Amino acid sequence: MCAAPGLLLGWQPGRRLAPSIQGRRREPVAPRAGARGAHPRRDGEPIRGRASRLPFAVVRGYAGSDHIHHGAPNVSTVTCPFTGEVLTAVAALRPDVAIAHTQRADRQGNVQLWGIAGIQREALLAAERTLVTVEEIVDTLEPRPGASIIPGWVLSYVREVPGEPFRRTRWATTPETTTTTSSGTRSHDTETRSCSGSTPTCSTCKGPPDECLSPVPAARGS
Amino acid sequence: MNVSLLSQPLVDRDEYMTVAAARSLHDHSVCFVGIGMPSTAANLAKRLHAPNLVLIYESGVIGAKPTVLPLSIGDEELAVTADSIVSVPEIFNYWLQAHRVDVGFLGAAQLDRYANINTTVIGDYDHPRVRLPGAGGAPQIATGCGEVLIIVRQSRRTFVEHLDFVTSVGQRRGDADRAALGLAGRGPVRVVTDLGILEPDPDTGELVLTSVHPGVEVSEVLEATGWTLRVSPDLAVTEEPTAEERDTLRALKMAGSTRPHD
Repeated sequence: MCAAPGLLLGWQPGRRLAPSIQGRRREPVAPRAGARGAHPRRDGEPIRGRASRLPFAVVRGYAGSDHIHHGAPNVSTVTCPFTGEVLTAVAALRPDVAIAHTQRADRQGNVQLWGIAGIQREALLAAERTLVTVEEIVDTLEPRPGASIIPGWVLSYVREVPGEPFRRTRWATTPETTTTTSSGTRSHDTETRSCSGSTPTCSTCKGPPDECLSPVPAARGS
Repeated sequence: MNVSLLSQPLVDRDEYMTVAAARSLHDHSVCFVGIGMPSTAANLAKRLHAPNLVLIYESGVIGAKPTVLPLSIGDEELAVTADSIVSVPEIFNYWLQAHRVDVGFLGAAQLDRYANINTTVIGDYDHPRVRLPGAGGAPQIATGCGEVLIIVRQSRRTFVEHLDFVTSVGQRRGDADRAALGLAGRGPVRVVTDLGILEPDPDTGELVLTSVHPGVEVSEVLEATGWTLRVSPDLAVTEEPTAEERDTLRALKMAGSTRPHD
């Protein structure tokens, strides 16, 4: 399988995604520059830092632990300029790609999600390129209490892949349901998408299309 | 439901551990729960003596009231029964770090006499023999919560004299206690194992054996500890689980184990 470096896997609300959460724990989400060892935090804070386009996030609670000594350059201290308190800084993670699965999108690529969102929003806003798979693509997103919408213009690709977490093969067999997200300026392009439904093998990794995780073309603005 | 298992009278050591952890939770307190034994213990407490226990799961679920044990922190059973669902960064920032949680559970791959915890590496940090899951939110749980319960099976491999890496701080590191390190919260106030219960000495922070489970000899606990474990002069024997505790626990576990996974 040819996974992009710095791939960040999101998770879906609901029981069906339980294996995906375990996958999140195992999947190495490597920080980029000169990393020594793994980032001690692979969840909220480093992603929140990057989603904000800040170089780090601030937390308490690492004092006295070995992270600051061993975790460099990913964990360090920072002194509050207002109170003088010494706090812990955790370096932002910079994923190349984030993949999330949600309930719905409309044909403009606006994505609706509800339930346990975890860090899906932050992951999508932190990554350079994004792919959102959804259970269904609808004409109009009906408002729903507790649901939030991620505007299509901030995403790279949206695709209808019902049951995606458990049936990855659907990825390669429903090319007609792909939608792009920048107001019609991009369209589904089998030339640039190396894994398409009509391609028996991935032209990038030469493997089965359903196992390739590298086909997302350059994102808007990059 | 498997009646034969429910009516099985003998209590195994993991059941003592889960029941002892459940008894440590007070009604109306707010509890940060992890999947596995902490979740089982918290849900057991909620069904017995602590019906108003507020369960918070790391995925962003506040006030969950699961009817069956969740399979993961992303289980929809948590979502549909929750008072509120927020994002993971919100849970850590606005709730945990803002000291809105009374008690948090932690596990450990290694634990020392001051209840410092290692969940990062076994062996040298740069050339580890085993790379463990890492800190996750543990350092923040260890300081954000009012107090911490540690739940871990006791063996010389886990209860060690010297940690390979200190992931989250317990009661003391070297000469520095929690106050000197600037750590909020009381830290670990109880370590519940399959053999007994250990609690920190109020003066030194060193763990002391305060209770052994029925059928466990003190010598067995000492043998399963990698340092010279102090034994309280008031050593107690853990009260046997009541029939209600035992049956509720088994029903909980059985309902969880027979649940379809998709």
